[in-house]
Amino acid sequence: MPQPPTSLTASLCAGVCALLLTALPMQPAAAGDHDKPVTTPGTPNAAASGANPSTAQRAQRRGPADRVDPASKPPSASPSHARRGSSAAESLPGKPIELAPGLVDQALWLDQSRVAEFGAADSPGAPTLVDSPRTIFTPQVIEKSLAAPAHGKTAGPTDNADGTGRADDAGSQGRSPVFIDASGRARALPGGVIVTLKAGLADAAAEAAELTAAGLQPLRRITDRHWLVASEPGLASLALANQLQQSGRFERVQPNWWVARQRK
Amino acid sequence: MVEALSDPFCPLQYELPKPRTVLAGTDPKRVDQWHLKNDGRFGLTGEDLNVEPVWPHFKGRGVRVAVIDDAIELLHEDLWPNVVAGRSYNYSGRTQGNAWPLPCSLADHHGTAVSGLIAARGNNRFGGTGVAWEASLVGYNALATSQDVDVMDALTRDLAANDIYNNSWGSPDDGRLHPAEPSFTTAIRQGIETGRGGKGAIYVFPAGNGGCYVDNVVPPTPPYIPCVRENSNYDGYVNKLGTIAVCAVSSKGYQPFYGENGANILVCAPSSDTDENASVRTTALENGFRDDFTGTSASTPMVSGVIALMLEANPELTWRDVRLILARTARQNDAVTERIITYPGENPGDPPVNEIFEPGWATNFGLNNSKRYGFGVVDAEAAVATAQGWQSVGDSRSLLTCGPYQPETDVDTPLPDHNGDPGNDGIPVSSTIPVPADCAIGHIEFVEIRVSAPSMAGTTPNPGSGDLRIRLTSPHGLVSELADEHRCYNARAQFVSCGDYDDFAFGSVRHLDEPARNGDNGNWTLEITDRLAGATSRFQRWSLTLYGRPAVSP
Repeated sequence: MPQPPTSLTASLCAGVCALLLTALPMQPAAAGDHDKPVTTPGTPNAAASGANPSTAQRAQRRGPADRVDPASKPPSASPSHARRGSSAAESLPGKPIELAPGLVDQALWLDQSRVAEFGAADSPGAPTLVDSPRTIFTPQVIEKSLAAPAHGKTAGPTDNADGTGRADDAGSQGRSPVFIDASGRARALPGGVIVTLKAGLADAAAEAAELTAAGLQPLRRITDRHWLVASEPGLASLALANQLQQSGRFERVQPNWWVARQRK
Repeated sequence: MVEALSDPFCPLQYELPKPRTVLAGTDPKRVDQWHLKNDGRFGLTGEDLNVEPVWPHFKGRGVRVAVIDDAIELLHEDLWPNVVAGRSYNYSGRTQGNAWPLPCSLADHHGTAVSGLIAARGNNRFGGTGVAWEASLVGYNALATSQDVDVMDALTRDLAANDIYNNSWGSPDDGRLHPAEPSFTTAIRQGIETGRGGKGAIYVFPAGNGGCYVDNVVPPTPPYIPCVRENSNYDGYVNKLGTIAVCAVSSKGYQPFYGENGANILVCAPSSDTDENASVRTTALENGFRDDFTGTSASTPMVSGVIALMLEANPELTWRDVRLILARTARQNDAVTERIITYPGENPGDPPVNEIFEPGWATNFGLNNSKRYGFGVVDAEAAVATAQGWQSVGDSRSLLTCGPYQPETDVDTPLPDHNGDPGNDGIPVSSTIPVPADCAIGHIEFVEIRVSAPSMAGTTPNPGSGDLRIRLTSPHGLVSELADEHRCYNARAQFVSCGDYDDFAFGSVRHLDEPARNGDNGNWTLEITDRLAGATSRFQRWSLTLYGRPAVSP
């Protein structure tokens, strides 16, 4: 739903992003700060509050739609030529997380300050993104996780490389690291891997048999040659996708990402 | 044993309605549904879908529309008569897998409003009227989880039975580049190739709400966030071969304040603008009705409804036929040559900025097209009449593909940074791809342009992608405006990267019906210009793929 110009927060995160917004505190801008969506005090967020969306929207409307008389206001130069201001948050910090070629379509950065929790009673389906009291996901944890064997079950490392917590915290209880992609969107791993089988199998039964033979647990057939196979949430699904992709046994493997999509 | 319809943790709980007779008689709210027939009380007379003349003949009967959204109140009295029992799907919560994608809370209002615009039962003496008010409805609440697998599943679910997939959603309208995930692209491809027995599923999407200019600027409250000026083409969901991108027009026939431009936009349909009395009327939660639905979310289901009428009139139409008919029969709106619109200033305290607004209509190969409105506003009567006598151009199997082509020499050229002088248009860098003579396309239907123009700043995403203006010019001189200089902000009003042109795929329908070559000239030129000072980029490479049909064809 369109929002008036001053309420980009609501515009950005109407709908499925609402839970994400309500879970996050306001954070100051800082050097190296990620581009985290945050709740803005005083900015109505109808979708998050459950209120009629029109109430918030109307409260911010600025007047009737009468167009400005062309004769009364001469056009000025386009603001597009103005020199931009600077911002510490203009670019994402550090190097992107390195994953197997073909595993993701965009560069990803790790958000070490938050975790995504799936399966909360009041949030079925979509995750709740919460501040992490300690760093449980680091690039080292992810690297170790991807190197560990995975067979459709949780395959996290046994220790957190930086000693700030046990890494099995990271893969259990429906938690996932939060990634920021090159588009600035938060992503997380709710579990499951999307597998595209190579052509040539006779039917759905043969496809399922091929998956089972590979040690996978087929959960549902999405469409021809495309299946969702089981994995735990979080790093386990990334590790499994990584392993399957590297095996060359399948045409394509993609982790099942959660990513915010916007109702328009 | 009573089936649990909704998750027990949900605030909203439902019971199956008792059997009842559908009443007959005028729907009480229809008189104010100006998008169906605008009598001038809400804007300008005639700024509507022109659908009433169709209803004596077609109401969408036998055509099934799948609504992919947050939730759908299937038990709504105005929807229930058209719902296909047992064919919807719930992706969320403890009742995952059942056929009841019902709203869990009042926040899940969107899909119900969308569904009513398509197929709220007409003439039942209740609520309002959908565009195709006897079309069949199913609902998939894939947005409730927003997981890649559920979106892919919904887009390909029941492909043999569903005709149209309405998707009033997309990427965030934040001005950044949002490529579609591979599973999405795969699903759309699967749908147009195998849906409807090979005739192809119809996927309808909103062009987006990231435009944003204002008419009466008042001092904004913090945080001060200027307009994004998003182009619809930045959203990888809505610039694909096989997706129909729908823009909005107000009850006066203008681009609304949130409207986005885009060479990928096919047609428009009515929706809201700043006049709150002229928002869209449709079904609401708890068996209600609302008068405040807005955005391209509202326009999209109107087009889905019109397509349902077309498919009832001619079930043999392919997905390609539907696009062509919509474009050829759309009504040219906003005939004003130019006017002034006002954007808020860039920083707090800055004065508002006035700019000349031109509708930008031009004629290409017999079709009117505008970067703001695509081919114009959908005209249901004209579309259905044309559909009835339409000779098919074929399905996916007969779609010709030329390319992808690359330039004969690598581009790999730095883009001169803009110097900040308002009088300086910037220094363009261009590259030409000669489409060879063996490309047999005489009527283009879609153009895909992939561009790599990363920042020269190192490993971080390109902060300069928003600096770039990108134009594609065909051998006949038609221009697709793919990207314009713009800024991207986060929710704290900070500049952020607009994303990286890293093999980013643009789409264009601007060249509809144009031949791939102009006699001996097959040169397509891409021109990139840095239009903002501060960041530098490098035009690395690009590719061009044309889709269409031979010169001798319907």
